[in-house]
Amino acid sequence: MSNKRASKPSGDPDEAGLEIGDFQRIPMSGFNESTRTSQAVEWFQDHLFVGTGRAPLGFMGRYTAKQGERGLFDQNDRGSDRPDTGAREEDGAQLWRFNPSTGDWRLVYDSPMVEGRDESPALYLGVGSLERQVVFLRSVDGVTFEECRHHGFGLGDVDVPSCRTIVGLKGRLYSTPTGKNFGRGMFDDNLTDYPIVFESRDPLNGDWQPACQPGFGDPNNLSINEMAIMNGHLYAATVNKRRGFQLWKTDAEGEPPYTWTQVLDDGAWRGPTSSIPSAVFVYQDALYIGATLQRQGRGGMDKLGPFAAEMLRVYPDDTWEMVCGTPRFTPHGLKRPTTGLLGGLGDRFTHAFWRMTEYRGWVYVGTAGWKWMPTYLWGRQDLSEAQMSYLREETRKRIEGEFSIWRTRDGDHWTPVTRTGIPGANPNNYGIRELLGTPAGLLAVPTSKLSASMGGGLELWLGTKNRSCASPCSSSRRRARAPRSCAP
Amino acid sequence: MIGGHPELYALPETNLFAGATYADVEKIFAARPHLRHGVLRAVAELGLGGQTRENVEAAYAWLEDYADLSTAELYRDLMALIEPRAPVDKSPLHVYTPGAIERIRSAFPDARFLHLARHPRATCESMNRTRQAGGQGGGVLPEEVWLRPHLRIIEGLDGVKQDNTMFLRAEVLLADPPRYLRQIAEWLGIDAGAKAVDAMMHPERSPFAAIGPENAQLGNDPDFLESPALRPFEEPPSDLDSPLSWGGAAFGDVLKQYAMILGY
Repeated sequence: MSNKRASKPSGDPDEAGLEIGDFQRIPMSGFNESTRTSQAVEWFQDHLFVGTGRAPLGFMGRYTAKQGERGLFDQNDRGSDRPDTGAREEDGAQLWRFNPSTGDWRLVYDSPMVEGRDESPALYLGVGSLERQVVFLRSVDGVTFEECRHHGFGLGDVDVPSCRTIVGLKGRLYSTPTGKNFGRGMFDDNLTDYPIVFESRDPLNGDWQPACQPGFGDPNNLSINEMAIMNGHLYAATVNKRRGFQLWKTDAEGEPPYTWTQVLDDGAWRGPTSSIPSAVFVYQDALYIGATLQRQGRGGMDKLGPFAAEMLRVYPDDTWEMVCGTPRFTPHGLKRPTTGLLGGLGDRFTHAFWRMTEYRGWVYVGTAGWKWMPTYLWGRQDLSEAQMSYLREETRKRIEGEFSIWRTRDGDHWTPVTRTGIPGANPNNYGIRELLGTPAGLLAVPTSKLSASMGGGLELWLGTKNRSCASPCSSSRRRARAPRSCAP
Repeated sequence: MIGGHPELYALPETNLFAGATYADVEKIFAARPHLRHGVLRAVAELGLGGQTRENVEAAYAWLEDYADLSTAELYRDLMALIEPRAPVDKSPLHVYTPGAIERIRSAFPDARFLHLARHPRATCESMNRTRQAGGQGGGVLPEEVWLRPHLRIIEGLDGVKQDNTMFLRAEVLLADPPRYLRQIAEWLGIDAGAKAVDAMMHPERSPFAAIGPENAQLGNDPDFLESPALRPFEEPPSDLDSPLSWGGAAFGDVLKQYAMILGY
């Protein structure tokens, strides 16, 4: 009865997947000690690029910019130092470049740092700001970065502090705003006043144009959190706290705004417990989507959890399957998980499938859990004491630094690389925020509850079967904390 | 509806699992006799040859004779009378009474549970109308009467084998019965063909789809018994935020969030 489609494994069938012991910590120097997480990683011209924010976003309270008397008007197009807010020069984004063959790190951009279309591959990144507007950078050599014009998508004096995702299609760049700096509370970093896919045919000069109607015409779409390219189409997944995320696609033909088709609604008909798409990845002609419920602060729906993250798989013809999740009736028929597993690949305490990537014929997914911040235990009166006891007991089983990494060849048979984090990694880690398959290995980037100065900090781990790592690495097999030479 | 499938059998509301033994359930029935009608009609129809006044009396006597029998055993007796078809039971006391779901799970580990919901506003308004018509006042707040069973179901079904429990909004089912009845049949592993689905769309064919004899008239929704048919339905617009017509300012946060989780 399953509507499961067979997936053909790709890559070398003899290629063994990575085990957790294959990961080695990459020594890092020069990073600001206030960093606790990466904002983005990318592979470009034989180097790894790691974007960081400094002193960003505490958990129980966040730094909220203070709006000056004239709002953002005094930034002109480039922003200002905003000394009235107490901003520090070091509270800005950095971009570091890593050479895996030499182990050298180089700071290639330190915020704040200009014509023509790209005739050769170029690296684009969006630099978020806790005070000002998002700035796009462009580099063709990975060393020299140009600041693109039209900060904040060229929207003028508005609160557009960052961008969520950047993809390219048909020679154009697409990105979406995210964040709210001014006059807001916590947990707004995934929301925006401008839930719009923007397109630029000349990113260096800005010239951003709306490629869709705001929120695809639905005021409950509060942001566009993930985008991907599949089969010549641009896919965009929205944040919708009221009814669950939506998935839209367009062939981007003609002039923007384009005609979009809705593929999924209401969190793939799970509802608002799948309100946010946490990861998207295209593998074997299918778009994989991780969906979950964002933590929402006091009074949020997350207090009624835990709600295990789901994984879905969408095909170019708009049919879809549930990889793991709650079986349900939908307008598109009965959906049962192709893996036979409920959400979280069978772990109800998996909060998010946070990042996915492919490496040597395997797809890897990194997770974050509910237990490290058990909002579902706080002040509940809707559950019986027996159920509360069960949740408390399960939560107590948490291991410091735990998260999961899973791998699969066919999307249906998943093997845990780890269920308890990376041995030897910082115990303040609580999830995998970045995964990137590179020629040098599989890069895994945990995110930490704390900055380095507080005992946590950003770590980079490289997984490879080839243990003759040219760079000095520390192996998880030795449970080493301090960087040291890697042994084969 | 679902019980109209050729491989299934729609029992009236037996309410049996509201207690561990029939004697336990009878204590509830004594206070609210109409809740007894379903099981009386079932025993009369299936065990005694028809729903007559005399057979209902005989059914009552039979149940009294076996008052110490577990309700699970009584239920198995009813199931034996409809074999090879499987029973479909939508007894309200099974969700209003603590422990009922657990008793069903214990007695029938392979039982399938379909959690159906109706919009809290429509539910509460209907309940309020019924109370007013009956001259009833006070009692548990209507919104509590909506929320508590859903909490009981969600928790009671926690841990049930994953393919043995499903959720569906009644409005979705009623707005497009063929689409969802087919899926329900597929889920249950029974014939999902057009003929079987069509049979499910004729609840009026059930021997219990009418007012019963005078000593057991109900056993189902009174409005349905008065006029048994599946009628065209379009989900009316509704919301969770506007003031409550039956009193009270608005739905509480917890109810609203559970309603949203359930798709409202």
